[in-house]
Amino acid sequence: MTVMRGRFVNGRIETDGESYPDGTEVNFVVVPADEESYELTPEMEDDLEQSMAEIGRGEFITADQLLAELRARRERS
Amino acid sequence: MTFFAISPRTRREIAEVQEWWIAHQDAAPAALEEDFAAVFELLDQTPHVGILLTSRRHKFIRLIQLSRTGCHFYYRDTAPGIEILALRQPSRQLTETKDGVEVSAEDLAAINAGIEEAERGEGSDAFEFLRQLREGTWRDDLS
Repeated sequence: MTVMRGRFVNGRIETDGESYPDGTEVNFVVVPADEESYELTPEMEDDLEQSMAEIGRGEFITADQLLAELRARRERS
Repeated sequence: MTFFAISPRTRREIAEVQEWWIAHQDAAPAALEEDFAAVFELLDQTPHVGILLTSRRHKFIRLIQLSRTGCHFYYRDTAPGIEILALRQPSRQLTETKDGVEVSAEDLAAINAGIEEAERGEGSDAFEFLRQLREGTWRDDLS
C-alpha cells in the first residue's frame, strides 16, 4: 500500500507521485481545511466515555455482527 | 483483519441512523451498510487515517466522516483493536410531522408562524388576494 498526496482539479484527483494502471483501486481521505475546529464538547466526551466503559466491561459486538445486523434490518424493511 | 468492538450505545445510535436512512432515503437504503463495510476495510489498512480530535480527557480519539451518509464516526485505536465509540448524523435537520411529511425545523417554524397569523385573522383569503392582484392594489407588506 502506498500513501500519496494530491488535490482535486476539475473534478479529478491529481497527484505529484508515480502513476498506476487504470482501474487501480484507491482510498482517499479529504483533508479538512481547518482541523482546529475538531474539538470534542464535554457532552460528546461523556458519550464517548460511556462507550469506552461498555467496551471495557466486555459489552460489545464485532464488525461482522454489526454488518449482519445492518443487512438484516434493511432486508426486513 | 483488525478486531473491531462496537459498544451497545453506538449500536443503538447506528440502528437509529439506519432506520432514518431506510425511511427517508429510498434510493439508497443500503448506504449506511456500505459506509460501514468501507470504513472497516479502510481502518483495517490504515487505522490512523481519521482526524485526531482535541480532547481534554482522552488521547487518540479520531473522527471519520462517512462518505455516503455523511455521518461522523468516532473511534480509537487501542492495543487489541479498534473501538467504535459513537455515530452522529450532523446533516440531519428534518422534523417529522404526525402524518409523516418531513420539513426542516426552519420551515416548520415559518409554517407555524403563518398558521398563527391566519388564526389571528391577519392574512387574506385567496379570492381577496387575486382581486387585489387583478386591480393592482395588492401590496406585499413583508417586502
